[in-house]
Amino acid sequence: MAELCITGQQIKFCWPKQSQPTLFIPALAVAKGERILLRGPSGSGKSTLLSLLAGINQPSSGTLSILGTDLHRLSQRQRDKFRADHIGYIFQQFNLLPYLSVYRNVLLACDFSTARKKKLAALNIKPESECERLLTHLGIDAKLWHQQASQLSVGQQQRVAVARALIGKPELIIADEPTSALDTDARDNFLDLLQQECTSAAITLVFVTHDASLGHHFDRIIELSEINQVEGKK
Amino acid sequence: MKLFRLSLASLLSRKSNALLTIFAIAISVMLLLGVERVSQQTRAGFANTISGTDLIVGARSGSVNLLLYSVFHIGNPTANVSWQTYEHFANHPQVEWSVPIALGDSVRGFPVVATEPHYFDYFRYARQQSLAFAEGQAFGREEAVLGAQVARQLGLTVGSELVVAHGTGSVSFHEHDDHPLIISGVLERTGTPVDQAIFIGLRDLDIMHGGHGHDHENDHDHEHHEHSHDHDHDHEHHEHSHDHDHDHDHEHHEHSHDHEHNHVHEAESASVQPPIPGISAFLVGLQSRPRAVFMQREINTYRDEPLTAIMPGSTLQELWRTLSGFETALSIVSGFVLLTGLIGMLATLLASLRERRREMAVLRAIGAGPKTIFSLLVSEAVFLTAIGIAVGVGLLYGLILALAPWIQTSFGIVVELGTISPEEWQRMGIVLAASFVISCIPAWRAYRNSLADGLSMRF
Ligand SMILES: Nc1ncnc2c1ncn2[C@@H]1O[C@H](COP(=O)(O)OP(=O)(O)OP(=O)(O)O)[C@@H](O)[C@H]1O
Ligand SMILES: [Mg+2]
Repeated sequence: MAELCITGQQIKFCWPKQSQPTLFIPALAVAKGERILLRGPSGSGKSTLLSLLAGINQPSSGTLSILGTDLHRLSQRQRDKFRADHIGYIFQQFNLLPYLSVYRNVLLACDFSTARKKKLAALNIKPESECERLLTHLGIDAKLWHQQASQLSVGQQQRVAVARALIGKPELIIADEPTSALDTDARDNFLDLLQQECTSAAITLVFVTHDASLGHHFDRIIELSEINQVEGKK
Repeated sequence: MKLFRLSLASLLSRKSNALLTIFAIAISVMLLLGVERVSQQTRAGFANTISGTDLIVGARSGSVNLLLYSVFHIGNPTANVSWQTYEHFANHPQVEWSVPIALGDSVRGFPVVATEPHYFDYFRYARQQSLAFAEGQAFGREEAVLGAQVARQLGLTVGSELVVAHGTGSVSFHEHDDHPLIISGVLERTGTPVDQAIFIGLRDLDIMHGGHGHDHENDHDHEHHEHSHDHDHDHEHHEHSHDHDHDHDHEHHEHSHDHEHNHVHEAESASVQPPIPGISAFLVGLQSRPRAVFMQREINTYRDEPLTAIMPGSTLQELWRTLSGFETALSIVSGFVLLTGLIGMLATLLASLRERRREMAVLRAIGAGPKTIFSLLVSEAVFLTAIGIAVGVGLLYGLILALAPWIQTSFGIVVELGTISPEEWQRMGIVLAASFVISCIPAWRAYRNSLADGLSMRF
């Protein structure tokens, strides 16, 4: 059996000031290099689960470990560092800091993580050249690199966000509906590029969407409603 | 470092807000430092107005009042000192020198100080600096010396004519057109009330007031007759001077004539003939400075005439203390201005948090901890304040450069550019510390938000 990237048992999470827990997941397992589509209706707790995976929030009970590291054993600071080093995160929209250039936005991930820089250094690659390679590969024209991120189209911005998530080869990419603001062509193009990058670097991908038609791009589809055992939520 | 670059870039994207914040802080820092500076320079200017004079003696009155009219030429003496009393102390063995002054007149608002030519030899200001003539020399008969400011403002030079009026207001009660004086000299600028003053001889003042010398030919006789050591006479003089201050010249005439008739044969003293019956005050330099306290007591208890003697240094301090309430009030006001500036910054920071929530979420996602977010906001505020302080200091210096001439002409205060004093550094430090403390409020909010929001982008 393949090595596991994500394992979780009895994960329970309740947002502060809410009477009912949002999530109760008895078991969760994602193998390394697996590409997962996480689906569920709006408000079902997909984003909440992702913030648990990213170590932004902590389960109120249960264990969650990423790459063999028990997140609950880490301090807040260590979890932030862990995220910077091992996880690339892509939002639905507005991934980039509008006041930085495209180029600097991508390199920002390396600025916050020495591990990513080290990984690149071990491969004898400079962060700058990796940034250029990724941007080129993701179809961002070189003449856009030094423009402010806010001047790019939404589709271009999402691709730059992928470049930032990928730089320094993190083990896990988490994407929260990154295609919802894109038209069909841009979406397929985006998904292809993302898949390629993840496959070539053997990166685990957890991709959230409510769009059922995207299923064929992924190894496995997880319906949140099937794993989430919170009563009253189906 | 990378954090600094990040927050700088973020700031630049919010340029107008940042500039307004900087401007508000700059203005308040400028005020805060400016108020302190002006009051310090005023204090220094105060201390510099007179030096080298051990005692100032006038008719009995409050010491601050005496100082105000004798040194600052503000206000009027309530009574005069008779010439005999002046003579008595001028010849006192402890007294090295003494200079009589008579006040009460003005030319176009500039006070006229009637004195003797040796005033220019003995008067000292700042650190024992004596008066110097920019042009000409001390006055003689029917001549006048002008302070630097008077000469400039009235456009008079050596040789010009000057008409002296009775009374101290800008609007003169009675101009003695018939008795113009010729300017014999103009003094160098001192930065003290001397710049504002017109100096004439005591005798000329008396003549202008229709005293014993109103008839030029008979001057000598009158002077001779006037002199006396008689007590009653002294008293009369005293009252006479009093009248002179408040009543018409006609009465004065009669009075003078009375004296002439009554005491015509009494004047026998070999000493200097009195140029004027009464003076406003006199400055005294002592043989030995430490004796000033004893001399002061002796003068204050002088039996023939009620007198007040002050040591200018200590009375200057007393005067400053009475003014320090004003100074404190100004400091409090500028403190509140600063507070307003800082609250303005707090408001902009808090307002910007809303629009920056996305930015924070992105930073969180790529691995920035809540503490990083916190320090990002704090460093931004401190950075803005630091720039605001620098701009404020720049504004202050610019303003001093621009306004110093005007302040000097209007208030007689010399504001120097100078370097930044330790107190000023301290104040700036306090401002910076305050900005740090205040920015913790939005930073804490951002910290809480970044924890509470998780990775959901909330707008
Ligand atoms: N920061 C938060 N604080 C409090 N409650 C939250 C917070 N974020 C989400 N919730 C609650 O948790 C529940 C799940 O929200 P979540 O954002 O995880 O849903 P989702 O599946 O991502 O929905 P969508 O598809 O619309 O993005 C919702 O009921 C919401 O009210
Ligand atoms: Mg969501």
